[in-house]
Amino acid sequence: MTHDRRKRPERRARAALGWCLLMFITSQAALDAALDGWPEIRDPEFGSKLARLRSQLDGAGERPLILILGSSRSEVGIDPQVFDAPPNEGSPEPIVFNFAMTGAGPIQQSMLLTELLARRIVPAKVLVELHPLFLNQRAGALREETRIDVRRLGWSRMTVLCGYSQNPGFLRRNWWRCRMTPWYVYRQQLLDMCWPGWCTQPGQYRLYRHVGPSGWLPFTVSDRGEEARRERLEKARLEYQQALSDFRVTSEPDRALRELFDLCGERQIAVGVYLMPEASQFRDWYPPGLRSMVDDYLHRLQEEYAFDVFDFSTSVDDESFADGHHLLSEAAAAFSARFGREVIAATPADRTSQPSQRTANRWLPTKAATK
Amino acid sequence: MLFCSERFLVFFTLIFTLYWVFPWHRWRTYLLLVASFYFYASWNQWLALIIGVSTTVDYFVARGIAASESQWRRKLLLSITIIGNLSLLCYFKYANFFLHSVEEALHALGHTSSLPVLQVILPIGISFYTFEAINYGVDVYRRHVPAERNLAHFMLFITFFPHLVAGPIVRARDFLPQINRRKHWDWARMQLGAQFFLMGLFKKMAVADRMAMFADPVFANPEQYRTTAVWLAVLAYALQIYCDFSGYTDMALGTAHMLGFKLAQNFNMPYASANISEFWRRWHISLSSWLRDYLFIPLGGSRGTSWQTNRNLLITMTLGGLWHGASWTFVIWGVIHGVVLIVHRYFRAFCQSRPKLDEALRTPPGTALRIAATFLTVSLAWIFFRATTFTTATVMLGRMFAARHGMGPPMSKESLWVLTAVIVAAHVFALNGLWKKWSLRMPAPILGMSYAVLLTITLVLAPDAGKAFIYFQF
Repeated sequence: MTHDRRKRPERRARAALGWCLLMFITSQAALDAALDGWPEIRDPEFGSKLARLRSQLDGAGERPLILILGSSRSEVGIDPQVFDAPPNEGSPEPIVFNFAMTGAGPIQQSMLLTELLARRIVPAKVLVELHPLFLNQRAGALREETRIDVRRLGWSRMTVLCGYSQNPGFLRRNWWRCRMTPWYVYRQQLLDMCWPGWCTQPGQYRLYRHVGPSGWLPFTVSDRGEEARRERLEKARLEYQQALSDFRVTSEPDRALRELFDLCGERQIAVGVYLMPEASQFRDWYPPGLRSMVDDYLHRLQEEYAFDVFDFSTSVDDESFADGHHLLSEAAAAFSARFGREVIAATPADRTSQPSQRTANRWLPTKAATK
Repeated sequence: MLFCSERFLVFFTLIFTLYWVFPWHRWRTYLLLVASFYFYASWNQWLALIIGVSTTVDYFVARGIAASESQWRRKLLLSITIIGNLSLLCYFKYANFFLHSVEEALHALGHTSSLPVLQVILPIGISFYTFEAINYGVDVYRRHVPAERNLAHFMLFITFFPHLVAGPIVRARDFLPQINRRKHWDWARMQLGAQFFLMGLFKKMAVADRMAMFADPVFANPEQYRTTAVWLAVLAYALQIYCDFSGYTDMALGTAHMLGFKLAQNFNMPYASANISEFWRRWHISLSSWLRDYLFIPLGGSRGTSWQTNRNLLITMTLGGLWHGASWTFVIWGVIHGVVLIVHRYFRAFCQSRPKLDEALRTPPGTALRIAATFLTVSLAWIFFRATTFTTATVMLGRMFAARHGMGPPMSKESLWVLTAVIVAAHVFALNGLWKKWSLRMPAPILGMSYAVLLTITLVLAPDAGKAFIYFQF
């Protein structure tokens, strides 16, 4: 009896610690599972775009989907809402959605398409932005994997990224660590959503609330003066100076592009490639031979995969840019109208067409050898 | 290696596991000693060497004091240990401060010469371990404790990693017997340790680091902020320093408990103090009791005339201020507390001769008023503690007591008010003994779940950039 009474606080303490551990692990696992169905928290940019895409697709019936995959240049520069494309006779009007994301080069474009396909969103066509400087992914800050925040990735995107990583083991370990303590890792997003007054980094997450219904994110600048523009331009130069020196097309982006085209081929998804506008100052930073190197590379790819290329790099005047390569919101409207006319209208838009017809479609990626 | 970092979590898990896996008591002691040196060396390995050498010297000197029967020799050896430790402290912490002060004084007198600046790194926690070494030497001299015969035990007393860098300042008579005692696994003690650790983690990560986001920008540029923002920054700092330091202490106590050691209590709800004297009995208890036992009482304490007592109080608090940091703002902070303690002595005597006033001040509204007045005084004094220069402190005070326009608080006030309310509620809860009563009666699953909820809230409220503990710099 006395022995039992002496043992009681021991048992109680053990039970309390056990319950603490169990509850903590359960709450982490529960949030982790919940976040899989709540991508706005895990990756606010991807999640907010996915939510808007889903609402576009709701009730869209047989209308084919055209997805724009690109970097922030496309994200702020292309507003599918203002497309000025004449409808193709006899085929339903396509839904065009801008799924471009900040810093997305070929690897992220490939990751994104894989994730969307895993979520059963199958586009009829993808329009892939080719950012010339993202083709140079030598070691260090230039590598796309260094720009990617693994906390934001789901399993399918993570798997693709590991295929291109120099250190996939490190990447996986980091990813698992994030999965183990989601209450800590996603605290800022959770606070921003539920208790905004407590969020210490609100700007980072609220930004994506401005994403339009078709995925366009307007680029707004508070100071439009010449001085501020010069400062932004200089910042962009510093950001890209490493990529500009010793330029070459490195293996990872090349492999990512090819795998993206192969995936499109497998899933009968048509492909087009475009280059976004750049200000003359930005193009002037290019060392001699860079553009021809990119053009040669693109030409080789085009021969292999047979897609159309739309080059808009010199199509917009310098005043339309915030920093030499991101279009200001009003310039984006004008550019989008043109993009709609020249790219979307030139695109056969019938996803439900017969396979035989689709093979003849220039947009469908087909290896030259099999043409 | 901060207690609230992932690195410490890995380190402690490893040490904790090995410690309880080892069946031999001696091995455990050596493990803790190695772990403590590794913990210290994670900041700077050379400084770990310094602490190793100074501890060894203190050990042999104390053995000498204990073995000697000659009074002059004992005094000589005691002087060696005190002067040695104070020299170490002065060289690393105060040398540049003194040189700079002398240089400024010379400039004020019209001299243009400049004195050299010493390139020294401040060993983290030096103020704490030198004070521990001094109190050990003095206690051995007074024959209050026997000299420790085992060097490893003595080294562990000084370097035990939970208290090494920011206290509490442990006494040999409390700690050395614990090293000798064989430890047995005890779930109740583990629970107590975990509870302390979680409370400390909450105070540090959820409150102190968040309060720093209100206080830091205002203290950096007070002239840019309006009056209300400056008042809020002072309130935020009062909460920050309390939660930062008591949070650290709670984590130290928690980790020590999990290894079978009990460290001295360092805080006892100081902001619930009804007067400044009580505040010093509740705030940084290990330092204030050290200053009382090894400085105030040897100076004569309150045994002499009123003037002598006042002088002793002022000297003790000024040196206590200087102990915190090598800057005149800390000295001023110490002087303010010394003066307020003297004023309180006179006020207490004044009240004792007026029973009605005394009675009124002891009623609940009177007590609330006294608590508010004490908190206000302490908070205003914190301005000198936090400000990097005297000018910053005066600008802060100027903007607090005259309506000034400027920017609002650096962040939304919501979290400041909610966390203030939480701290007040926790004080009330603990003062009434409710926490003790509830935690004993609460069913184990509810208690365990409340720990998990506390941990989760801590993780959610942690700001992006964690800050080092404020007292690490002392």
